[in-house]
Amino acid sequence: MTLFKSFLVACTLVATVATPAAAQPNRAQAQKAAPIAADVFVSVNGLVCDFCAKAIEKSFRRRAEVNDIRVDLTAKIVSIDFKPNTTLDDATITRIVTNAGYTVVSVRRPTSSGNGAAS
Amino acid sequence: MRSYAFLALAAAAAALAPPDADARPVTYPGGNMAMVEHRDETTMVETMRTLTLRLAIGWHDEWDHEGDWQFHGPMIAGLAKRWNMPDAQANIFWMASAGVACDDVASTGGDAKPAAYAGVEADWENRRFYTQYQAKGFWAADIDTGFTQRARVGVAPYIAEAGALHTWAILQIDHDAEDDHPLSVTPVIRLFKGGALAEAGVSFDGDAFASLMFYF
Repeated sequence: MTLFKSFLVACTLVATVATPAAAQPNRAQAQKAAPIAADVFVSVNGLVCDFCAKAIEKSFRRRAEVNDIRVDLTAKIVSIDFKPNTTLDDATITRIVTNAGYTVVSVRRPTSSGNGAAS
Repeated sequence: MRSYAFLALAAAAAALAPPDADARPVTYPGGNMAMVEHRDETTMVETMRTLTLRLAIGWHDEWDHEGDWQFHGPMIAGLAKRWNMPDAQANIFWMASAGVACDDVASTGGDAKPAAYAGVEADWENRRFYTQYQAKGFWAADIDTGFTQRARVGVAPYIAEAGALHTWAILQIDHDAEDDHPLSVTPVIRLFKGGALAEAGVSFDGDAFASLMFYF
């Protein structure tokens, strides 16, 4: 029971000290969450945790065409920036997201090079 | 002494995992998971590699310090069903392993017997709440048989973005009819960031629980 009480004290310390600090984004996190000059915005269902973001990021970073990628868990949007003169078509983007375990709602291209929504 | 053994295993797992490590039995094609878990009298080490969206293979080691037996064998896990919703996700996983169990390790050096286990796991989570249920059956010839269940409910005290420190307060309920405490309730704190996940708790009976998991 002493061990249990010690654990409760430790939890209280974590809640009062670590949690409020973690809730405030630091500079690196703010930089990572900042929007990028994306070529494609993909709306995705099922993005609920950091592991989901990592799965999406790693799946796309394997592609030579991808320059940068951001996952916004709040907006459920994956922003992809391609290297100059490269791109991935909507079907390929949809396949990568689906193979990572998530569901594409739409693919939006703000520039004129888009080829429509995926689904 | 067991605590030191667990810490050594945890340190080994941490050392083997690359800094950008990520965790779940089935992750994404090409993804890897390594975990070590200690609860009461049992220590478990598991490594998995996801081959396809629905299938992962790996290796499972388990030590029952109270019963003085251990299990080692390859394992397989699958994603039976996933529901991707706008603000939530739900999954059903299955897992199975067949290998050898050794008993009386301390007194006789261990007598290997065929052994196997199989289980199912279901979860639902959004960014604020988390629930999980797991059931597992174990069989080892002439050594032990058993059925264990685990249920969890968790809440995130704050909503964290990708790359930030995620914190969860979880209430874990373990059921093992053959255990000294058949029904064990454990408050658990979970922290994860950048593919590394750590959990720690102490049950109302005073049993320690800790796990480390890495996805990479």
